[in-house]
This record gives sequence, structure tokens and C-alpha cells, in this order.
Amino acid sequence: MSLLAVEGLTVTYPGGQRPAVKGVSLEIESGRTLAVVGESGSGKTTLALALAGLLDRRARRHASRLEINGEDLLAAGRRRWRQLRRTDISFIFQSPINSWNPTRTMIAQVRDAMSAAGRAGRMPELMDLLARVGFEDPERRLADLPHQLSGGMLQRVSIAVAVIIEPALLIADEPTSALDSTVQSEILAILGELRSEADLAMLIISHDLSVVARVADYVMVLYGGKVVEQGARAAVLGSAVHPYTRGLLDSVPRLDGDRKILLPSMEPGHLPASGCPFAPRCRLVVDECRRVEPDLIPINDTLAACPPAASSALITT
Amino acid sequence: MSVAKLPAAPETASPTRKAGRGVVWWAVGTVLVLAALVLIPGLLAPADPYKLDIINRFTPPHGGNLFGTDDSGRDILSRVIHGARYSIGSAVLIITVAALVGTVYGSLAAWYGGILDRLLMRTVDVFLAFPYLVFAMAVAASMGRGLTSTIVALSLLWWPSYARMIRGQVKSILNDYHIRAATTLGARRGQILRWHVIPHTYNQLLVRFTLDIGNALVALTGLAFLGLGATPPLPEWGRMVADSKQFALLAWWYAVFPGVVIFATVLNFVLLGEALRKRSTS
Amino acid sequence: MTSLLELTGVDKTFVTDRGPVRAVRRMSMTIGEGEVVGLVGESGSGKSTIANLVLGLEQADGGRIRFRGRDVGEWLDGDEAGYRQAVQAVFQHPFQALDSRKRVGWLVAEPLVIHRRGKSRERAERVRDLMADVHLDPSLVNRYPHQLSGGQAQRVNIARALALEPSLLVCDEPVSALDVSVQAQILNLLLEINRERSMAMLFISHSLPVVRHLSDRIVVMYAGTAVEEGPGGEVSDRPTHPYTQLLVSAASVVTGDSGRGRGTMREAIPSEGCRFVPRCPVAIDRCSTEEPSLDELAEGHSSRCWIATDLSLREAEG
Repeated sequence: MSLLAVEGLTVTYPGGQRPAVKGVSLEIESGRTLAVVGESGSGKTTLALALAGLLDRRARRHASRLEINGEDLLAAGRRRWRQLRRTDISFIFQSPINSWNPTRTMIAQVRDAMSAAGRAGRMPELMDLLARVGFEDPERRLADLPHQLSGGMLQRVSIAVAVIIEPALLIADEPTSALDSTVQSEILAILGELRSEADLAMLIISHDLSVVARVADYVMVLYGGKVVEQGARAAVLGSAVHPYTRGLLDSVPRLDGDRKILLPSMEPGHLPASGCPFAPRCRLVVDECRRVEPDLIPINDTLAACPPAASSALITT
Repeated sequence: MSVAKLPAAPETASPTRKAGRGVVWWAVGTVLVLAALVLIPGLLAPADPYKLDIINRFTPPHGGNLFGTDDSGRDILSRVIHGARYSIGSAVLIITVAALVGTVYGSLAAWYGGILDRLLMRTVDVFLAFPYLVFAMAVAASMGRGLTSTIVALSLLWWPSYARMIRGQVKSILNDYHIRAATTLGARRGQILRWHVIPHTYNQLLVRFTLDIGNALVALTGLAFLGLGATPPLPEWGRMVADSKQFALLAWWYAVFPGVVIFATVLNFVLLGEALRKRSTS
Repeated sequence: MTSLLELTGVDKTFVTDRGPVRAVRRMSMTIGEGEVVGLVGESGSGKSTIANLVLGLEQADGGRIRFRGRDVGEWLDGDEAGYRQAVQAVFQHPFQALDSRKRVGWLVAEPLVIHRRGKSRERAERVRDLMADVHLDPSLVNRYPHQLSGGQAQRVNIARALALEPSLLVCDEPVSALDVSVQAQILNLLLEINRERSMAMLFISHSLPVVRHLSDRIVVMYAGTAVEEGPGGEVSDRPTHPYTQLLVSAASVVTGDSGRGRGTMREAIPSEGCRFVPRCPVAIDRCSTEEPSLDELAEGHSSRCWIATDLSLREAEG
């Protein structure tokens, strides 16, 4: 059974011309990781906030289904969400330094988080876990204030605390984009390892495909608040069909790629009021795209919201 | 690569922006009303503010004298209108001098830093430590009583707070990233200060200026009560309230109308300042 | 190739609350006319300090930085305007680098005004040309920075840097704050500029693939000094220093194999011997006592590692 199940999630902010998230459906099983990929304005952070009950009060949320652990949360109030966030949902934020109170020692804040989750008794285990993820001498270093630790170290603590309270769902919003590439790969490795040990469901939000490649079982690509392509990691990264996903994959310099050539780049474009959100930037665009908002359809190995891609896929295969 | 097509940024008419426009109209309205009072009181006032009329002294408010008359039979409404020039004019003058001197002084301290900065700022501390009443009395004693000596005293006391504020702001702006960019472009010190630093202090300066006009009015009124400030027969507002106190039981209107006008003016500046602050931070 | 910029044995120490930090240690490198040199390393490696030293925003404690054979300090004292015109910069944060109270047109014209280039009408024309050069719609000329996208803002910064036709462009992490698809556009623009104007660049980034894509030569920096240096393709395809090898494995992009780095955790940097020892998977005894020098292994390819030759052989065998 899916641990997290969402159907038709739409979030609108007042004054917004388009919903920030539109008709998103997803399911994650325990022990699996879904990566949501998108650039700024894609709605990926709104999606993460909606799934943790952290949306701004002014935002309007609609969904036909929103379940965590089988519990229907469509009507859940703020109190229930707060309870869930203490025990069932862990959230890791992008900026490690901003997720900690600068005026209190790490150990005090870690203790608070643990006892709020009813896991105060697991402090010794947390210390072991911290040592295992490369946080040396945790008893001593946790006595420091947050700014005395590096970003990578802070993120290690965030992750360890998030995992040790045994949540059912771990949501990580750009957990490594504030870190260096070598530290980034360490953190991702730790995240992947702990996730599979703890058998929890993870939703990771990122704009960085190399992050996704490391940890995800499934990948969902968001553009303009809509899912434009989704599927298993290998399928999306290996044989994506949606022109946006393809564009993202091709525009990243690769270590084994050609040097000093122009990268295939997608021109910027606005989000249209109707039709496919990607139409203004798309190289496969046809008139139909500007009129009808496409639904996800199976093309090759993924689901993609792009009828023209379907026909060109038929021709090429 | 073709020339990038760029979308027009959607102009969102957010509620804060609408509120922001309201504040601007409010500020413009305030300035216009006060400017009229200060510049053309003769056209607005129904009577001569200095004309004595002993027979009609202490006339309660009625059709001919909306605010009543004072102990010399002068029309209080006309005196209030003419008084704006002295009250608000003095307040604006004091704060303008303080802001100008403080801005230059604070910028210099921040810009040169080091010993000069420390020296300049210790001087500011000395000024800030002075009790203003004692200082105003001392100035009055040496220059003679009157509005001029009060204005001088308050200006001398007010600029250090501007110097301190501006110094802090300039210091922090100089650390901004865009200053580095301008430096690598080759901008000279004066250009950086003029183009990239001072304009960033305008918002806070305006807020502070607005709030302080209210504060200066209060200070002027207070000093008038102690017999410092405008001398008779000038219809300065604080002076009028001070003069009325011996007739408080006999003619309530004499104290109440100038008092209400002072209160309303101060309140207007304080609220306007707060609104401007909100607007500049949103 | 004649060298345009030359750093020899540069040192820079910062005094912090926790004592002195040696940000740059005996760093040497050169950039030739029209050459793109990529400087790669993690945060704290000193790569941004190099940018600040070259731009004269900081002063070196030791060693020499020479531009066209003349000391940068001398340039700045004697002919600051001349140096500023020749050496320009693009920074990491596109919005913060722009004065938020000025319009795009003003910002692009600023370098022309500072250096008294042209009358106001000629300047307006030049601003239009510059905006076209960086593919910015001319209608944006009256916008304020906050009305731009990240990519547009970075284009404005590039247009400002190009206005004086410098011979060296220092790019300090110019794309790392941008979205993936925008990164590609900016990288393409920089490549175009390098090609069309044969403008030399010091391209600084933490991402090896990005640096590799753009650079003729790559310098890998670790703990304040160069640990490997060589032609762009060589360094990334046949890394000889264990740190470069770590960077390569950390950058195994999108290939799907989850690469756990070979040496991983960050630890304190030792004060003698090879600075990389605590993270190095292949360190030998000698490494912790004696610091290796930057030795040439092959034509133009140098490495600061006692066993680099062995490592490059091992790497070649796969």
C-alpha cells in the first residue's frame, strides 16, 4: 500500500494568474524515493509544503485525495498537521543554517526536536548515527552554536534527527543545493543509505538532475505547476520523451561530453494562460498545444504530457 | 543562438502596492495643506491675528470667531493659522538642518573609518548625552530668549542622532555586494557614495524625518511652556497653549483649540512616518 | 602564448575570530591572452580569494600578481582606470551585484560614464549594442533589477563587464545561483564572448563538468593552493591527483550509478605535509611529513602528489 497518496492536488495563491500546482497526483511506497524535479516557478516547493501541511494561510488547496499512512488528511486541521510533522513527517530544508536557531546550542535544539517527537530516549542512538555519518565527536561538537559548524555538518545533523525519529515520510527540499559538490555527494549517499535502512518513504525536491540520479527510484518533472513527465529513474533520465525533460538533460555539461561547444539551451518563455505550459519554449509545439492542456500518456517507458512527443516517438521507434 | 524572447513581467496589483499609493497621497496632502498654511496664511485666516479687541476678549466660539477669542480679543482661529508658519516652519527647519548636517557627518565617519570615525562618533556621543532642556536654557541665556535661540538649540541637539543613523546605514551599504561590482568597474569613491550609497539611505531618512517633525513640535511646545521659545505676540502654537494656562477655567477654548491642533498635527506626522516605514520595508 | 596574468607564490591570510586562516598558500598560475582557465575547488579552497586578489578587492600578503608584466598593486596605484578597463568581473549573485535602485539602462551605461566614454547619445547607442550582444531585449532598458529573471540579471552584469572591452574577464561562480536551463544559456554566452572577442577568462566554479566544458586549461585548487593543473580534457579525463579523482567521481552526472566518493568525509586540514592526507584514500607515510611540489607529469599537466604517476597509470588501466 502506498504510504503517501495524492490525487488531483491543486494549490492557488491569491492574485496568482495560474495555480502554483495544478492537478498533481502521486504515490510513494515505504522504502521508495520520489524525486520532484523543477526550476524556479515550477511549483515544486509549493508541492512539498502542501504535503507537509505548511502552506501559507492564504493559499487555497484542492485535492480529491490526500492520504498519509492510510489516514485521510483532506479535512485535517492545523493541529493534526503539527502532530504529524512531529512524529510522522520529517522535513529537511534547503538552507542548513536557516533551519537552526542561531542563539541556542545544537544539543538543546536537537533535544527539543527529539522530545517533541516522543523519542527523547533515543539520544544515544542519535549520537551513534551522527558518528556514522561523519559527524565526529558529536557530544562535544553539538555543544556549539549553529554558525560554528559548516553547512555540511549542519545538514548531517538535520538528516540524522529527521531519520532517527522514525517518520513515515521524509520530505527534503533541495537538501544539498547550498553545499559543495563533494560534500553534496556525501550527504546524498548518507540520505540514500539511511532511507533504505529506515524503510521510509522519501520525497526529494531538486532542480539538479545529478542529485536525482543518485537517490531517486521515481522521478517526476514539474513545469509551470504541472507534471510534464514521470516514471522510473532510469526511464526518465535515460529515455525521457518530453521536450522539457530532454532539454534539461541536454543542457547540463557532462564530464564525458564535448568541450567548448554551445550547449543545447531552451529559450526562456512565459507561462501561458491556457494550453500546455511549456508551449512557448517548445521545439515540438503544434497549434493543438496552445489550446488543449495535455494529459499524461504512456510514451515509451515514461508517462509524458506531450502528444507531439508521442507521435515522434512512434516514428522513431 | 537567437535573441532571447522575453516575457513582460506580470504587473501584479498586490494589496500592499495599493496601500503604498494611499500613503503617497496622504503625504502629498499633508505637505500641500501645511505649505498653504505656512506660505499664504493671510488668504486663509478670517481675521488679523494681531488685532487687539479688548471689548471682545474671551468670546466663546461662535459664527464670527469659530475658535473664540483670547485674552486680548484676538481671533484664535486666525492665530492658529498664522502660527503654523512659526510652529511647523520651526520644526521643519530644525529637522532639515539636523538631517543635512547629520547625513554629511555620518557619511564622512563611515567612509573614512578608522581614527576619524572614532573621533567623530565620540563627539556625537557627547552631544547625545546632553540634557536638552539644560542646553536650550543655556543657549537662550547666551543668545537671548526667542524662537531663534530655540531653533538653534534644538538643531544643535538633533543632528547627532542623524549622524549616528546615517553612519550605520552607510557602513552596512558599503559592505553590499553591488559596491564590489561598482568598484571593479572602476567607480571612484565619490561616485560610489553619490550613486550607490546615499540613494539607499533615502527611505529611512524620509521615515525618520517625518516622525521627527512631530517630535520637534512636541519639543517646541514643551519649551514654550517653560518660557523658552517664541515671544509674544507671535502666534506660535506652543506659546498660545502656554499663555492660555492662567485662563483655563475662564476660557476653555483658548487652551483646547491650539492644543487639539498640535495634537492632530503631531499624530498625523507620527502615523504618516509609520506608514512610510511600513511601505519602505514591504 | 604570452601570459596575460601571472600569479607567483601568492599568499593570503585572513585574521578571524578563531585565529588566522591561510586562504591562499604559495599559489601560482598563469592565464594567456585569449585563454580560458578554469579554477575548480570546494568552498574554502581559496578560489574566490584568488578572484578578489586579481580584482584588487583584497591585497596579497606575499608573492606577486602581475598583469601584462606589471604588478597589480602598481597598476592600481598608478593607473587604476587602465587596470579596471582591462580586467572586469562577473559575480555569483546576479541580483546582489546590481544596485537595486538603478534601471537596467543606467547600470549598463555606468562603466561608460565612469570612464568617460562617449557623449550621452553615443552611450545610449552603445548600451543598446551591448544589450544585443548579451541577448537582452532592448525593451528591458527601463526595468529595475527586481523586475528581471535571474538569467536576465546575469546578462546585465555581463553587459556591464563587456562595456569596456576588457582583455580579462574574471567569472566567480557565474552560474551556480541560476536554474539549470538558464545556466546553459549563460555558459553559451560566455563561450560566444570568448570566441568572438578572444577575451581571456578566469572561470571559477565548484563544478568540474562546468569548468571542463568552458576551459582551455584547468587548475584544481585544494586548501589554498593548486594541486593539479593541465589542459581541460586531460585533467578531467585522466586525473592524477586523488582530490581531482574525488571531484570526478562526485560529478558522475545523470549516469545513474550512485557514486560514493572514494575518500569522503571532511576533516581538519593539517598544517604540514600534503593538506589532502586526511581525506586521501592512497596516502603513504611520506605524505604526512613532506608536502609534494607541483610536478609536471606530461606536457603541461602537473600534479602535487607523491604517487601521481602511479595513480595516473592506475586510472589509465581503468
